Amino acid sequence: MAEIVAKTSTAPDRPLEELEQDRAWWWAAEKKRSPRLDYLRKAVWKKGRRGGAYEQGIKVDLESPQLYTDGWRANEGDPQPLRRAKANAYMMENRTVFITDHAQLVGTEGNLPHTLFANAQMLGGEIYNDPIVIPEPEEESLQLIADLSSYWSAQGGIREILKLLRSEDVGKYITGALMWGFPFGGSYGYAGKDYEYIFGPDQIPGAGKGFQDMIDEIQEQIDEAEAKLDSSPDGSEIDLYEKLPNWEAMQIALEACINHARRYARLARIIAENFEPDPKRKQELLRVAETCERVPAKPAQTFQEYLQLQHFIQTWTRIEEFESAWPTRPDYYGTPYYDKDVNVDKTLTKDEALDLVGEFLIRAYEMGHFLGRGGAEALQGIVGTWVWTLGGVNKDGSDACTDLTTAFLQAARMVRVANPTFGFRWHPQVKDEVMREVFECIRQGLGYPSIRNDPVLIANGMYWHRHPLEEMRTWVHQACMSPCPATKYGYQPCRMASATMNASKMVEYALHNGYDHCVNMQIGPKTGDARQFTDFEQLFQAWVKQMEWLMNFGVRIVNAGRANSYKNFGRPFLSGISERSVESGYDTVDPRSGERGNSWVTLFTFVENADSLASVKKLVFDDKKYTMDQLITALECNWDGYEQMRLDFVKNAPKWGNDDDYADEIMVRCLQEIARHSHELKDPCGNPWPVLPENVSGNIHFSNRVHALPNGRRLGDALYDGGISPGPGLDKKGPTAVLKSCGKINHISDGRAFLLNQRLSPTQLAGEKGYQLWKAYMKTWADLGLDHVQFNMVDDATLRAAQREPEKYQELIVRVAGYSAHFVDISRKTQDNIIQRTVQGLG
Amino acid sequence: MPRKKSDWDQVKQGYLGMQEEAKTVQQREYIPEKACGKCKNFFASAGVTTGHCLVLKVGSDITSDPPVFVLDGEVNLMSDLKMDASKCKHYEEMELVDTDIGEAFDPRYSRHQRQMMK
Repeated sequence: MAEIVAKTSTAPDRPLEELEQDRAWWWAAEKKRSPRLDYLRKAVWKKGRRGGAYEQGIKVDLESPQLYTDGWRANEGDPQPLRRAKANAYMMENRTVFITDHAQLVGTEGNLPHTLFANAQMLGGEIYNDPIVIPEPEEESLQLIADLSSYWSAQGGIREILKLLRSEDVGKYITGALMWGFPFGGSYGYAGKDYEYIFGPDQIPGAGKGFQDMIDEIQEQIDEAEAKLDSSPDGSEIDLYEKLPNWEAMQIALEACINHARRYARLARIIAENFEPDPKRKQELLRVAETCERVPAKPAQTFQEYLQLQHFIQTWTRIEEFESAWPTRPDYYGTPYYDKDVNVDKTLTKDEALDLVGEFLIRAYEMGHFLGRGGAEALQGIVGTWVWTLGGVNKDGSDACTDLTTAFLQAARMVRVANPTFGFRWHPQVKDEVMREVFECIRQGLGYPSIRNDPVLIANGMYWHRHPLEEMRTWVHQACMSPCPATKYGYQPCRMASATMNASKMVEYALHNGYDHCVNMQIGPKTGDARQFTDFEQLFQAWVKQMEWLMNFGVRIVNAGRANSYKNFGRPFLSGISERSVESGYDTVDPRSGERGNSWVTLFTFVENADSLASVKKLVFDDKKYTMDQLITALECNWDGYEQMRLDFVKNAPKWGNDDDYADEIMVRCLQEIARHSHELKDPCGNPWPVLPENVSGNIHFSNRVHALPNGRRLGDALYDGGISPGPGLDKKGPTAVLKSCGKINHISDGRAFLLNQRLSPTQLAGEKGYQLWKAYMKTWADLGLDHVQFNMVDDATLRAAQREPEKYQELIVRVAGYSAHFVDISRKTQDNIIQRTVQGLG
Repeated sequence: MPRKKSDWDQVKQGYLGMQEEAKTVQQREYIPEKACGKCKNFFASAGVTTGHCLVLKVGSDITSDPPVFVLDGEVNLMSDLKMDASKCKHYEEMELVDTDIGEAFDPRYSRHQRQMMK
């Protein structure tokens, strides 16, 4: 082992302090971490796309979809949930398992370290046509993909959902100009988990639920149902015909997981007993074997078993269905195990535990599935938005930060992965020592944790979705931003990515009578020729109608997909680890299972609405410098030939984010109109659809799908980066003015959550003074009641140097929006967009 | 009386038909010299190989002999990256500036298709 580590260690031969002084954080981290962790970090394959392309050497896993398809074909006569569970079980029994050298945690999505998992139902043209990922021998692989995708094209659930929808909705949806993602529930799953069921309400090590316990509980339900069917029918037994296959499918899925874990145990034992010469490594492998023999069949007892169980659950969720998020709260649920091993039994030292946490992050980073172009453009450099939740409060409202919270923050700085990232639940009781750890991650350029305002978000979840206080206190990030409880009726089993609207269309259509100049079709309703508008109110009312139309359109599609998902994308495994499904017999994505609901509409490209409306109000209606006719003509020409006028709209019209009531009142009015309409919209669980403005890298994806706007933007220009972040370079009054503008929004009743990107100067925030400046800034943020903020703390010189010589800056991480990525893995357009963001000076 | 089939119905049927069609390797590998995906007037849908024409409307058929060009209507013609556009008089070859797909974020100038890189 020592020899391997020596070969891969390349940190400059300079003292640690000097490296930190120069902000050479990657090299400093390399010196701090153990040789084992160093090896694991460097051995991992990067699964996100670099720009539009995968890294050379990354291949798609074709073994898994082939096995799944074989299993599916072999059970043709079975009801859908059973057939699905059996196909998954067959795949898990037969696909390749591997253990990385020096690993103490096992399991990943693809069948090999360099492969991307591919869901059989999603095999199709995108993979077939990809220039990088086809495994050798290419001819055979292409034949296999062609055969499998031809088979699934006639079977796929996407088709079934699309068939349901009105033709006009389908036609508009597939332009790709209005929404993002596919309209079905199982895919892009964002599956929350019923952690309270898995780990028990009191999280006592050894007292949670093992999968065997869950299987036994399901058997009790089956026995009871069979007894009812044997008794005199009264009509209430009819549902049991639907429930019995669901229960059986859950049992099959859970048994498959137990067997899958035992395959890892067997492999670890075989290597240890037959091939491993190093006694220390042999012991590690035997511990891996013991761990996988115990979990998930029985409840976790040790910290390693806890981490392994968490990792297995995420792996299996991803194998069952395409998952894009990773909702979890690893410090909260892991603390009892950590405490027992580190502080009570002392079977693990702090350093050993830290090492395991570091590996836990690396194992997550290793996960990967094939992302098509639409997904990849908005998630550049990563596979999904894996925002792990740290900190927060306990169910009784007390501080939940622990030694394990600190360990996660320290481990993140040591392994410096771009995914997962953290969202930290700030509340007034968080100790200064923990805030310093949080700040250190930001100062060291990770771009995370994002900071979330716990009291505001708890109130928000209670307001919009009627989650009880105690349940809401368990909240985790369901995707990048939205809080969701981890409880029996509170957790949401899926969130459809297609509930993501290209919100700039609201103002674009209001200006063009619903006509879309990007796709050359009438898409929105006709709300009047804007050339004839004589006052701002007419334009605003047209905007309201377009907003309502866009929201109605998106929610109508997603509701249909969501309510019917269980028929095509049922989740036997996820149901098996969900108390409400075990009890009810309904699949967990079936709204009849009792889910309370936690829906939200993500608004990409939102802030352009406020800036555009403010620009028109000021320069056309108030100052009468231009007529509406002139403006619409300039916009139709994409500002070509109207450059002076365009610059006037950029420079001399009020913009959001400067504590200027003129623009801010329009922003708030827009959000309040949306919130009003959100209450009129209902999801299949009966809850409203609040909005969540953010962008990931959708501001780049949609840059060619939003026409010229009155804020001075041209077709093709990057859109703003945040959900409520001011336009890059347009916030000229300093960081407090940004916060004050954002503080005019009611972060509880105006929407679900609001993403704010900020750039800070790394030189200004050096040392103790820097921490105190940041702390004062955060106090203002909290006092103003904002729910979110995240930071980039990398200077322009470093970012520009990375553009010139990317090979020297492979590990430079930036916050994009809602997630972090290696700077070299995002497109030039996105890189430029990050550099353009205003660097705020504090103090 | 059954509802009259609308232009949107044709788009939906066309889209579902493209999704359901079983294709051989030969069909998948074939890229016409003039393909819709190489035309400036092709607007790619997100995440799939389909898209629509920015000029032609539903009712057009660029593969028939003679081709049919409908320029009036509310709904644009569904198309596919690999549709044969050799008979289309509105075909305008685009410059593929992003051939290494390192910057695949402009659908007008980038085609990340393996077959188009040959």
